[in-house]
Amino acid sequence: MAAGNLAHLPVCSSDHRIRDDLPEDIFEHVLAFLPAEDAARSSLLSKRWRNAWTRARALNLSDEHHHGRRFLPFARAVLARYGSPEIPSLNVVIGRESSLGPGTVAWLRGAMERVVGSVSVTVTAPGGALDPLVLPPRLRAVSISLTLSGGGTGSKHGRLAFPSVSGAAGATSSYDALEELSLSRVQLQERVGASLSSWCPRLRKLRLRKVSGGGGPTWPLVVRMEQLEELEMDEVNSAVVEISTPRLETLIWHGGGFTKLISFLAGSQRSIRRLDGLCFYLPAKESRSFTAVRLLEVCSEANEISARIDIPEHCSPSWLSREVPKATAIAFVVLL
Amino acid sequence: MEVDKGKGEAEETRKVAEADRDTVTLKSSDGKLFEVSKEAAARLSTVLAGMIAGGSIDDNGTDLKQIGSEALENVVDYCNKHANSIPSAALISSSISFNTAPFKEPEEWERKFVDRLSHDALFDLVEAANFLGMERLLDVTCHKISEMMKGKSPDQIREVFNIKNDYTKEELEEIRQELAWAFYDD
Repeated sequence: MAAGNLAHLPVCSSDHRIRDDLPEDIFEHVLAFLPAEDAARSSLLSKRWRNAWTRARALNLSDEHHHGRRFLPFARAVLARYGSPEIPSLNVVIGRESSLGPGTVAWLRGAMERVVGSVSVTVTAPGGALDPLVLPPRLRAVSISLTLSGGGTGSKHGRLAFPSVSGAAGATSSYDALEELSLSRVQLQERVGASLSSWCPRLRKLRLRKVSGGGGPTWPLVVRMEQLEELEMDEVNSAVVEISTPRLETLIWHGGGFTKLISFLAGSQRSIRRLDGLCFYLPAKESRSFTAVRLLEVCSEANEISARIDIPEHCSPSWLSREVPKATAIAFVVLL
Repeated sequence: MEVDKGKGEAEETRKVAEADRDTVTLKSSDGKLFEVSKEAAARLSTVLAGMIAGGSIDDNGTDLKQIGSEALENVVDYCNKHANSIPSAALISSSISFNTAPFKEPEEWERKFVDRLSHDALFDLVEAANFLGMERLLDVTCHKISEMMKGKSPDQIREVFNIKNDYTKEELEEIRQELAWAFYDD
């Protein structure tokens, strides 16, 4: 708002105002913090509140209060009555296995297509999963975070696939607005790992946690993204990871589940300023720790490195002194 | 912090070059002057940032006729506290932060900051934050208001916020039926 507009707005000094209600234009902000049920029930307060919730800046849905198969009718009602075809922010938490199924997946696909800001879907139901989820062909969201399975013993990851596209239109399909993507407890279906970069060309942040591939452990993961600044990998069981990210600044690589082969292309390792979470057991002849050592080597330009390395007595980690001195802040825990 | 300046001087609209100063002076609807860090004001308020960039800041106190002195004092207090706060553990954790959550939970100091306000002061601050385009302060204050509504009956909420029920009995019943899906029995 330009300063020139200030004079035209009504003057309301707290001295002589009689406060009888909240200011109307902040209803949609307040309602964004409430569960959808509470937000909708605010219609009962007064006529000014009648349709305020249908403009709420965020919709927060959970099956906490909807037993059996009652979540889906509730979720459909919320979406049907929301005022605008565009939803700024959608947050869904599913904690009951009975709320999951093809109907919920179909509802979610429809809901995701309407979101122009952020989508967060979290399955917390033990042993349950949103499965399979085929993403809609068009997405306008800027930020998407999906946890497709509730975990627990013997539980499977939720399968995730890109839509199959055919014809000339398919060649140009991509989620151009998407800047942030987080996938947890997800099994990437065939070709998703390889085509992630073409579907999400403008990602700035990518986080993969407990992500597996559908075709066994040999699936390739290709992260070839011009804009990517932050990459976090945690228990990603891909055998081959190719990273080509000229703007990557932060690389976080958790857990011991190392990939067998990691390759950096286009000099992307030179931009990395921060390497975090690295934790591994050295003898370097073991292929996994070899990858970890390789990771340390390619990030030698970083000025913030946090790693924990278990080194047995017979190993002499000569690369430590050779590669690391450039970093100004290093947190190493080396157990001998 | 309030600056004690002569009333006559404060009334003048003559502009002084602001570029070299670290602070900006804001004037409330009731003529009181407050000084706030220019850096914090520009970072936290899109409107103040625009005014600073556009040179429409008045050295003798930029008029904010829409904001009373109590609300403006809270705005300035928030800006100063924000400038001095230490990043929380969440910001230095070894994970990427995403914008998918509706918003980042209030920090401890932000919670304390809004908890001590009276209802009227809170509502005035919401309006001031909205007016000045202070996204984070708007989130923190609106979140506080939502907490005061959560799990309460319409009657309880009306009482807390002094809302007048202008529906007829029949209208209320009609809405209640339309909203059957938003009620649950546990």
